[in-house]
Amino acid sequence: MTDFEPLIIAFACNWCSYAASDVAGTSRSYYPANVRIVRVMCSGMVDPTYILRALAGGADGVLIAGCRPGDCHYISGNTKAEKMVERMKILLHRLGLENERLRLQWISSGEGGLFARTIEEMVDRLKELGPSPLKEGKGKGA
Amino acid sequence: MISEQLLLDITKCSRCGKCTAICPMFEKTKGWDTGVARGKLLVSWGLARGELEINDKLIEALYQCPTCMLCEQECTAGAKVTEIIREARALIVERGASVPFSHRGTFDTVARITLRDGLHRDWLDLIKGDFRENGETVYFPGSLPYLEPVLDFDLGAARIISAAVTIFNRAGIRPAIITQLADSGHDAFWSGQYQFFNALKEKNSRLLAGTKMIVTTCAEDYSILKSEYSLEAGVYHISQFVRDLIREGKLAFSEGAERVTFHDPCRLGRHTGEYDAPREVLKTFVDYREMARYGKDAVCCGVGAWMNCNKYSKQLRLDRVKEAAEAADTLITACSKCLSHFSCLMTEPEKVEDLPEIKIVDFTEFVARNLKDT
Repeated sequence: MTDFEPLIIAFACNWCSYAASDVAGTSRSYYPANVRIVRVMCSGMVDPTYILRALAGGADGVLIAGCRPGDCHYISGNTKAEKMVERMKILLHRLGLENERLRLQWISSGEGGLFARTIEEMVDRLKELGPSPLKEGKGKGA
Repeated sequence: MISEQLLLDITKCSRCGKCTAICPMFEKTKGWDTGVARGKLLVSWGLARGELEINDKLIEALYQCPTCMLCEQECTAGAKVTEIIREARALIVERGASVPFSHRGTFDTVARITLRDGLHRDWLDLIKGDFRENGETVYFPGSLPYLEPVLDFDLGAARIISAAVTIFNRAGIRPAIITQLADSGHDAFWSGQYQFFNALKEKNSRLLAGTKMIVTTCAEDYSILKSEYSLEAGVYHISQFVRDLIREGKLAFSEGAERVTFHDPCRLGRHTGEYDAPREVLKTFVDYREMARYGKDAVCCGVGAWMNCNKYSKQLRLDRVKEAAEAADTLITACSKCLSHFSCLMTEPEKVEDLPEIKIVDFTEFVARNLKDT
């Protein structure tokens, strides 16, 4: 599919990655418009159900962006997120979805470039993978 | 819509109060009458007649119940309490309110994903043993492979599924494991989402057409497949399957000195009436003890269909585990939900006051572990 444009839902931590996306904007770095950013107070508050509902609702990929290890504003939220993402990758695999559709990336608040690069990489990879198998019958999902 | 028949059933209630004395949840909540069967019946009546509006209190009244059927069994008027509550929930769903699931509804979303076709489900590598992907004798693990990654403790899905396959193999059967099967729909049904349940039922019935025998390891799957599906195949819970194999002399066990007790899952016991099979199996090879409340009087693990997990259900769970610890060293249960609820309690010993030391083991896994090598 050549005209396929993937849709990414990004859960970005208020204290780092969301600021990084801002930096990417103010420094006029280019990144694809395929991403919809949801600001969360900590990557640790992202619940399995957010990921599943995003995918069931038609997203092709989900990005969870949080502070680098040791930098969490709430001490250990990002390690919690890391464990959760590991488990969710197993779940996606068992459910029959490519687990690369879920990505966890540590982005600190200055790294606007890294934010832009992460989105670019994800869009490229998702274009190779094609649309999410859950995308058909949109609206039937949760 | 609550049927005329069920509405008549509500009028049978003489408000005698037996349910208030027996409901394990009410004992913990110590709340208003809406926390117990006789109040819930009146709420259902009001809802069905359009006299009550849907609000948070009403939703709480109807969903704060594991539908364990203890009150229905003891009801002096013989009202079909659980069925009425379920129909009332369906009315709530029909009118657009959302179900107050625990775990933020993750398991509901997982079930919705299992309904989708065209996904290559990949978990057969978890299984140790000899199985096929199609056949007349089916092992139905339900959503077990999908439950485990959501929970942050080890539920042992791989061990339970492999154990079931081992038991089949000992009996000389290569069971069929169909990964395309959707969730059994138990939670969809009991949360009142009938439309969703029917979609799951239709998909599973299509995939199970032409099979002769279906064995489940989860009591909830068993109850729903047996009572709400109309399958040609015979549906068995693993405890019944193992009992029959023992009677036929196909399984041998190495005897253990462990003191073991069995928690009756409400779906296996009161809902489908199977109390004897797991006991008959366990008594053949271990020192079997009974808890203070067992069989028909067994108390629920606290949560039904992934709803209403809260401080009250946690107290119920703790009570049950303490009761088990008085009777034995190992608590066996035959339902993946009971297993996950008890295991969840045991994962945080530092957070629970006077948590007894007891092992929680799934029935299938326990049976397979004690099989004698031949």
